Amino acid sequence: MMVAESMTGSHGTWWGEFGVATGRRWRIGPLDLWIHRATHEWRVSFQRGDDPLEDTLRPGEPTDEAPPDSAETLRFGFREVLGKVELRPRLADRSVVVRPANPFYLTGGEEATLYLSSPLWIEVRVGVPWQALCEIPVFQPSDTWSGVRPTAGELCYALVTSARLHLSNLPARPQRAFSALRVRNSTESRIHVERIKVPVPNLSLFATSSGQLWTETVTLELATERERSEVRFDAGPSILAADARRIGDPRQSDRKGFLRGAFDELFALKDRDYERRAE
Amino acid sequence: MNDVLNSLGLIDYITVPRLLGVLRAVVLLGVGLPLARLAGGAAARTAAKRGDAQSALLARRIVFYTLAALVTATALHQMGFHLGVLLGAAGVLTVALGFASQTSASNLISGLFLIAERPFVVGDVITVEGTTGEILSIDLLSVKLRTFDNLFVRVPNEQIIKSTVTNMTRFPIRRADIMVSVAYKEDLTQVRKILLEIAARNPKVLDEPKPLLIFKGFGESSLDYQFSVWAVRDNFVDVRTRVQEAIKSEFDRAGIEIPFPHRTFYTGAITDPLPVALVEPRPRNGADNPGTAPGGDPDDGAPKVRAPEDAAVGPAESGESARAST
Repeated sequence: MMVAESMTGSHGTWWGEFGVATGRRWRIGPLDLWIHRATHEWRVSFQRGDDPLEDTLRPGEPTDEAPPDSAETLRFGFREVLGKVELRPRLADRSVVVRPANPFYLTGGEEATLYLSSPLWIEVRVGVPWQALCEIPVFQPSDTWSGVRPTAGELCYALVTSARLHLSNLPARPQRAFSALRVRNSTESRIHVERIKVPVPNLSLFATSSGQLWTETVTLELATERERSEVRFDAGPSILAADARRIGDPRQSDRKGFLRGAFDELFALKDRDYERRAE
Repeated sequence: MNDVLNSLGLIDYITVPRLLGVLRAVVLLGVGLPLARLAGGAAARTAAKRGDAQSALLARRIVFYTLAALVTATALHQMGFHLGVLLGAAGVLTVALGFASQTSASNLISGLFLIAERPFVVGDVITVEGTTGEILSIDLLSVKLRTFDNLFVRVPNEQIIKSTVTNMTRFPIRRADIMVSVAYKEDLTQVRKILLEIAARNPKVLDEPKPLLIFKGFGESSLDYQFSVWAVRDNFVDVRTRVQEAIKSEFDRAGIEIPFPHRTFYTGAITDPLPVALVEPRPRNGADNPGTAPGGDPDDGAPKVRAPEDAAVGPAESGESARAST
């Protein structure tokens, strides 16, 4: 089911350390980011377009221009301002519920690998030792609720994805992180893969030589007995990103919290009937 | 002297033990009452350190009266009075107290049931009998609320047990039901598309549970829809406001009409159409003489009237025909 093909294009890295004289400007996907340096303050300004999949990438160009009034600005006061800033890519701070635009069936004993791209958060760091100023999402994803019932559950981000089953169809997106999600149906009946909750805060970030970001591969196995279903994390990303090196640790190292009670939401086992009841 | 006492029958009464008893009683009262007052003062000072002026006053009164009652009872006992009779009276007093404290007792018991049932906790927002507020404390007799316009409301527990209480903060997400009406002439596919796009564009509107668009009915002046979107409780008010604002601006942009209530007026197929006179707007110029009656000299700025048969004539000619008909 997986076809090995190299990722096309290299846009160069937009993250890393940058020297700042007066200011620098980045365009990362839909996000415009300005970082300005003054005598006792750092100023971070940003504004966003509407398209989460926008591909424009302009790494940090030095600039003297002030950001437009429509941009949101955060100011940070410091006694001493050194001339270096670091942009660090990070994954989402909540689990992400992935809904394939076209849900598919998986018969008993079958396995499918989905390739997803998820939005990144940019952490701005300054100073020695590095101190985080703020975290800005490249794109603000929609909130969604992951509970089977509206009385209990977890607030997550929603990702409607084409959920490609074939890597060659996935264009290079340096402003997003790719994940390979292996779904294995070890039951004897057919399952309808309609929504999958991905434990993004438990994932690490890797970067290939071409600058594409990946997370480690996650395997979700559904067994006939609910207790035997499991979520497994590989050590690294897909073999297609074989030269990737780790650049970021997970936000949460505790993975057990996710496993408990996750499978009802992972696979659409129950109808979300509360929304269909008569008004 | 002895004769007077004898005649009053007191000689038998005033015996040495009894006199000693009265003396003991007097000493008791003389020492005990001031002691009781001192104790009351001490209790008040202790209470004032931990509480407020009111609890200090309460403490002083309770301690003083209890001690004074004890001292008086002992003094009376010394004088030879039997206090058993008083206990009988206390029984009657209890019944009277019971009737008087019916409501308080009911509130107390209701409070205990509320504590056991836990329909809400401190910090929740509840609506009870039309009052909405945040719970400040759940006490023995009542629940204290702070309304959103910062008023303090005391709700007796009995009232809470007896009536319907809505806990608005029990569940983490909430649905906003927005009633949207569109004119009969509108394309409903486009209306649905626009509304669902508004929900998709707002990141605070939850993706799931999915927004619902329910057709409610064919109204008198419009087609009525219910547009329901879910949001996390904290964002609820913001989402409801922004979605409605977005509906107005998107409908304006797409030219979709939200109709006012209106009535269609038929004169019937048999009768002639009603005659209608078109009135041109009054020109706004400073030369208007407010004393001039309307319908006078056509050149003085009064509204020009066109007869219906001239209405088919183009607007450029209406001035002349108006002059002709006036």
